[in-house]
Amino acid sequence: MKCAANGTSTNRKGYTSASVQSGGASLTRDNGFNAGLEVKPRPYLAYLDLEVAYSRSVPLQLNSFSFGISVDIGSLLRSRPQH
Amino acid sequence: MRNIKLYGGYLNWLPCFSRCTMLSSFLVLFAGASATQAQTPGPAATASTAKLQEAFSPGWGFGMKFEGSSSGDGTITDLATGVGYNFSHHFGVDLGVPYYFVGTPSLIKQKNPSAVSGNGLGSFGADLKWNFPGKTLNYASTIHLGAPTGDTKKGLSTGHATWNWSNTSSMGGATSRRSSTVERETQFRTRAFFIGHSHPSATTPRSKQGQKWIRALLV
Repeated sequence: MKCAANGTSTNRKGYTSASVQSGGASLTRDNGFNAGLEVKPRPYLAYLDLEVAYSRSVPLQLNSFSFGISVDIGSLLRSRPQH
Repeated sequence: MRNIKLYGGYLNWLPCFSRCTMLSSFLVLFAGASATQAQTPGPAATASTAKLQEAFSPGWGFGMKFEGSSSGDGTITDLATGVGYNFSHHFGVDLGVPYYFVGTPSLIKQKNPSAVSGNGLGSFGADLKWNFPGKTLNYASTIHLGAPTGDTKKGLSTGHATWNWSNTSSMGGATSRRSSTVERETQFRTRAFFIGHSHPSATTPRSKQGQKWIRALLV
């Protein structure tokens, strides 16, 4: 692990090999891009929310794929037909 | 110089994408535009009606979200449950908690035997949220409080209570406001790491007609 003279780390990938890492603010600095898409199926499944996303971290050389499925249960219950 | 600490192996990924959500916002904006168009009641709709729709819907809300992120550093998913109550169109409270499922690659486990892995409850979180939609300027503010209920040995919590105050302002009407909200969601999703923050979990719908956002607030 890269360490500065004062004992703090400058290795931004250090989280893969150490449980605790201390350093300056630059330790968490990052750059990259992110693209995402969110879909709300309407009108029949308005209580659903579907998401997918892709992120690329340039300094970490890391690709991340994300997803999300949200269910608005309150809306689902309210939308049930009344008899 | 202010020192920061990164905790744990797997959940402690660096804060990767805090500045990189603009494109995501634009895409969501584009996707949301068609939905907005589909539910537009017609030319008779007034500006005040639109403003009301952007405000909180008073009453109870309940939501769940299953989400995850995968990269070369491993896979993390969580099932978040949240309940909330909006006291008015401008103020509400949410409570939530995530349950994490963490998979750590064997390579990382070899290098760091104490890397986060396994399943377990995360930190309980509470949000105090304010929302003030306007014709030209929208403002939203959220104070998040996190309780250290997650297992620190598994890396699911830092062991400290946390707080976070976020403020969002945007120009324009409903669409741009939604964009801001989604931007926060995206940040959350991709930030599968801890930096001394605990994560709230899920929340509740925030607007009146169909635009029910269940936010997943992990930051």
